[in-house]
Amino acid sequence: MAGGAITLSIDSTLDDVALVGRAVRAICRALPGGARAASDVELCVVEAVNNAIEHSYGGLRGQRVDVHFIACDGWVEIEVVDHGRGFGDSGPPCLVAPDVLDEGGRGLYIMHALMDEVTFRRENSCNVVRLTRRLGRRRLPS
Amino acid sequence: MNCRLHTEGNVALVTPRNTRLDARIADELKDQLLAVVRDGHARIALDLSGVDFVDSSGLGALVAVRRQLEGQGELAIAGVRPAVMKLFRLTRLDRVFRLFDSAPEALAALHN
Repeated sequence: MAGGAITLSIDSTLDDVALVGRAVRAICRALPGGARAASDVELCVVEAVNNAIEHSYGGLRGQRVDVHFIACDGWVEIEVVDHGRGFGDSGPPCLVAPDVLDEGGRGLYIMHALMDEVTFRRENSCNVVRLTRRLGRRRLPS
Repeated sequence: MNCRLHTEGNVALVTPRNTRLDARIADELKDQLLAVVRDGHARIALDLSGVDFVDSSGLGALVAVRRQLEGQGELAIAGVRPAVMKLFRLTRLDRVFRLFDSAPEALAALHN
C-alpha cells in the first residue's frame, strides 16, 4: 500500500477502541516507512477516539465514531469524527503540559508531542480531530 | 481486567493479564491495585512485561495509586517494554515511578 484511504467506524464504546487502534497500527506498518510511526499513530488515534467517546458523547453508547485514514506521499492523515458536543463553545483546551502527578489531562499533550500536526474543527455538526504524521524519517520539530 | 497477585509479606507483585492498559480497563486496574493496598500491601510491584500498549487513562490509573500511597508505600513498575517506556519518558513518569527491568528486581528492591 503506497497510498489510499480507508474509513473505520465504531460504536461509541471503549470496548471497540482497541480494535481501531490495532487496525490503524497494522495499516501504518504496511506503508513504506510506516513501521517507525505505527505505535505513535495508534496511541494518538486511541486518545482521540477515547476523547470522542468519553467527553464529546459523555460516555453515551450507540453513537458513531468514524476514523478516516489517508496515506499519501510519505504522510498519514487521520481524521477522528464524532457528532457529540465536542469541546463546546470554548474550543479545545490550551495545550499545557500536565503536572506530572495529575491523574488526567495527558491525552492532548501526547497527541501534540507525537504527531507533526494536530487540529480541531467543528463542521456540519461534526467534531473533527485531524492528526498528521510524516513517515520514514524523524518527525518535523514542533 | 484480571490480575495475578503474588504476595510476600507486605510486598505484592501484581501482573495484569491484559496486554493493554487503556481507558477500557483503567478504572478496574486502579480499583484492583487499591484493593491490594487495603489488604495491607503498601509496597507493590506492577509487572508490565506482558503489556504492549498503555494510553493516558492507563497512566492516570497508575498515578492515582501512586498518589494514594504517598508517604505510606510505593508502586514500582517492572518489565516495561520499549514502546511503553517511550510513553513513560514522554510524560515524565519515569521520574515518578521506580522502574525495574524485571519483576524479581522490583521485588528485591521493595523488600529492602
